Amino acid sequence: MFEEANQQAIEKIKSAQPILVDLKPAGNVIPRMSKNTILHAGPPIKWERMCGPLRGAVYGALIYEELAGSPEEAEELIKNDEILFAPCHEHNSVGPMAGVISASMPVFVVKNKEHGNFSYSSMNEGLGKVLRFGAYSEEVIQHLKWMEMELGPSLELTIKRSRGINLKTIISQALHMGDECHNRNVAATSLFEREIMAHLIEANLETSVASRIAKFLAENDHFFLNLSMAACKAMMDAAHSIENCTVITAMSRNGTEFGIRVSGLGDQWFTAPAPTAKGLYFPGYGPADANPDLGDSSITETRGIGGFAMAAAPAIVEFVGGTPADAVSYTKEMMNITVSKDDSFTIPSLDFEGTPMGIDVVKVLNTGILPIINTGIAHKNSGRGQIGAGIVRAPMECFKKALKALVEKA
Amino acid sequence: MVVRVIIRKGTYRDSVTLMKISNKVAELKEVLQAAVVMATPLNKQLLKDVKLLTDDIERAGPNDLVIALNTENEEGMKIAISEVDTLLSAREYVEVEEVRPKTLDSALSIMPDANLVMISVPGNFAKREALRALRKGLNVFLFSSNVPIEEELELKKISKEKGLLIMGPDCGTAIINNIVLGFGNVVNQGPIGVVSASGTGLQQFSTLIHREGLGISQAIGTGGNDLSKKVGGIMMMEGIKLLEQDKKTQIIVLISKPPDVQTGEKILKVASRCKKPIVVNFPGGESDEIKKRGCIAATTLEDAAGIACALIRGKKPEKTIFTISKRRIMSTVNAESSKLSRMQKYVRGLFSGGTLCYEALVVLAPLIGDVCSNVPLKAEYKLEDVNVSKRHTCIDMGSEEFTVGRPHPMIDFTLRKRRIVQEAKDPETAVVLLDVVLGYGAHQNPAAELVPSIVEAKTVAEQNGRFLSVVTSIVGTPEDPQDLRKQQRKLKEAGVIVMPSNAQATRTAALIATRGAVEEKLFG
Amino acid sequence: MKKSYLGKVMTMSNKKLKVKREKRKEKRENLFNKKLKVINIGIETFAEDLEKQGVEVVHVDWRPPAGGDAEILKLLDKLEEGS
Repeated sequence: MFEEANQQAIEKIKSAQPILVDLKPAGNVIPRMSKNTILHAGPPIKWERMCGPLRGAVYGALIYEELAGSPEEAEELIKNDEILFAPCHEHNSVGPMAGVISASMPVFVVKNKEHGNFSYSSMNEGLGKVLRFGAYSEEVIQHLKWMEMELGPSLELTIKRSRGINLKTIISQALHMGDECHNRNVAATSLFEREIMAHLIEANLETSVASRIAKFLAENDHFFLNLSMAACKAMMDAAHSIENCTVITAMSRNGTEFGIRVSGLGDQWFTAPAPTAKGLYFPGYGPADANPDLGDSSITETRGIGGFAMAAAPAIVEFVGGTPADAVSYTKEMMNITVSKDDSFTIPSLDFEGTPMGIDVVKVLNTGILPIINTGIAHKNSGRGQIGAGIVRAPMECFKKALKALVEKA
Repeated sequence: MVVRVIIRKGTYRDSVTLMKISNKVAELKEVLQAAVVMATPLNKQLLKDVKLLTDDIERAGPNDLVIALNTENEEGMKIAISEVDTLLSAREYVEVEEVRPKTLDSALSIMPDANLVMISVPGNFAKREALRALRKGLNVFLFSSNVPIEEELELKKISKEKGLLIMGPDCGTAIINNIVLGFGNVVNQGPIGVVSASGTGLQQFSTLIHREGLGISQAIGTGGNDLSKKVGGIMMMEGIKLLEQDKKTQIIVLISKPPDVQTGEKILKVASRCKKPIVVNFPGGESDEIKKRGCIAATTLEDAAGIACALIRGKKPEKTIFTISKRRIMSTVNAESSKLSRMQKYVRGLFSGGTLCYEALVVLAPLIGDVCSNVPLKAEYKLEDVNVSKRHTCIDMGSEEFTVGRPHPMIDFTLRKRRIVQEAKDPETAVVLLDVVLGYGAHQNPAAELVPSIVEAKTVAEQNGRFLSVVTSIVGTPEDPQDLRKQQRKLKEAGVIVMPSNAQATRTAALIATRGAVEEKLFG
Repeated sequence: MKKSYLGKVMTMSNKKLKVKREKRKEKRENLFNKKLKVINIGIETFAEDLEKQGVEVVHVDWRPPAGGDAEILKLLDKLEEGS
């Protein structure tokens, strides 16, 4: 009963074609998005339980939207129930770290040309003090405004001129160039920029504008991350809502809870407390400073890249003091809990074997092997930024809850 | 507090390597802060945040390596810098570890043409794994024990339906295509096929066949519970059919403790229809029934081997009492028994093989009467305390009461060694009867394990004016991983009487303990 | 009329039985005459001993399913049975 449904899911994931087709303000394109909606990463969560970085990002977004002039005013609005919080995932969207998306923010529009579904994600702000780590200073707001006023429209023009950029092919190539497209995105970012370069130039922007944009893109190794995430979201959404299917279509965290969604179980989230990553810290920081796992970026692992493709990016595993051989082990370990292997995403060091594809709830429980995720580590206080990077495993509790629901339904 | 900043121009390492190094250095007890980074704008900001930014660092560029250290004292600084240098120059030794699958499915993707699954997981998980294998169309060797009988029945029914073999649960030995599965001895391939519900029984039988110069075609293990009432001998019957069809098998031998009555009848019915000759070793069972069905009954494993070989060679099957001349036997017996003190009169058998213990009980009964045991032939002879022998006693030390939370006595000799010395301390013990089993899965040097305890036991007896006789057989072939000749030698050197088979060792023990009184019963 | 009808049915089922028997024979004979290719689940020394005898074997690094959680194990079995 499950085998057939799972095979169907695999077919859908394999045949999905995520194409970047547009860039527009979130309020214009994201379904059921209002002026007062704040989307966030991870499963649903109430304000009272939100972690430091997420709260900071919410303040920042409300200030940026000019709905509030200060964190205090923002809190007022929230207390008066004037703000609608919702998971990005439930609006076909994804965002890294705090993952906050508000109506005026420009978002990438990705279309799965094979099945017709859309996905959206914010643009990556870059490194340093940024909204996704909960910073909300004037600097951050100004940068967001620049992205809205200058970067957004320019890239919109560029993307339109290109008539669509195939994100799947970029990911395939990047996996052969040392990226895993979650924590290592430099090759994919470079490939993307190479592809838009001619169109960017032909968009005939003012030199100073073009120059600012070019500099911004050149300095951000992770620009492609948000596109990778949107592409994975589009591919996994195509496999969602298949009757009797036990494949996981989303894994996500809001800094307090870790949640998963199962294809055959509709919109239900199965949650557990978010674990804290084990890894390496930047100088001056340690585990006591770390925020629990945060972000929608584990949609990449859900798709079978990121931590699942660690063998393609051996340098990543050193995050936990492992060796390149460990990177291979992790990828191979994940093959025990997936339905199949990909044929478009392959790993050179494994003789071009395909990446593990289609995490199966039943296999996870049968083997006791939990999906592995590479992740950045945020400081638990808002606005302090990234303090390290590491490896985290999806909590067993989520899968146990999902199993109970599957049994009840059967 | 000592702060030092070192800048190495044009020295590049990637950020992950550097992060690793920073973390490692920061762990040193002398180090308060450590930052090993490239001088990028972001890192400069980071260093500023932790108050390690200097003008030199400000002037450095993204291709320059910054080593910023804060230590307790000068000594600590030296250590820290040295550590940084070591780590910077270290090359990763990449060991390509063999990556192992975690499930049957993943194993199948590595070996899609697998035809047999060997399962030795804890009994409560055994059914799941075995069922998976059967559903994939694979034969199963199920070593796991403590599998509920209902589950065993279910597995065997499914297996029969699918035309697959399931050897077990609780199957320790099999020989398929001349390959030993689980425990077992290296023997020649030949025309004799076996279906056995007993592990050590199969081992004794096959090693004797090998010694006779013949060989085993296939030896199918059915597991210890196959011939119970509930299971009804499903696998034994399947085994008979299989061997009947196998071109390389000329004779079929069945080995088991006496089965449940109904099951026994079913099996003999199937056996009677078989076109090939069938030798049945159900020791202590009804041999008339067997003969009625046109099969040949063997009381001991050695007899079964002798009969099988005789049939192959077109000779008349004969029972074996001893394969050594009566004169030599009695000479050995007299030499041993003459040293016994008057009080010594009992046989104490300590077995690692359940079937060998059982066979000893069957052989001893007509000679010295009923023998006490933890697994006696008659219920009233069950020992009150299995740790204390009474009168003549034979113990199966592989039985549950001795193996909970311990390795099997074929691998771990601790309990047996202790018991040997304990028996020596009992003034009424005349003979300690043992078995030594070699082959795959068994201990690599049983003699080395047993000899010290045997010597100790004999010494204890001697110090108390007694003589302890020790008799054993060795189940093994020269081809086994252990050195058979050496094992024999070491045991003999310790004064142990080594006999060619378990049955012969048992008879010898009876002769010694009765000071030859049963000679007539034996030789007639 | 009835008799011949019955007769037909008998021969049909005999044929089916024969085919079934042949198929079963095929599968079992395969183990006796072909090279053993083994997957070992559980005690590692069994796999090592097979390797010493020149047999191709894949060892499965087995762990109790569901981390040993008996309740979850029951549910998993329930699910599998349902399918």
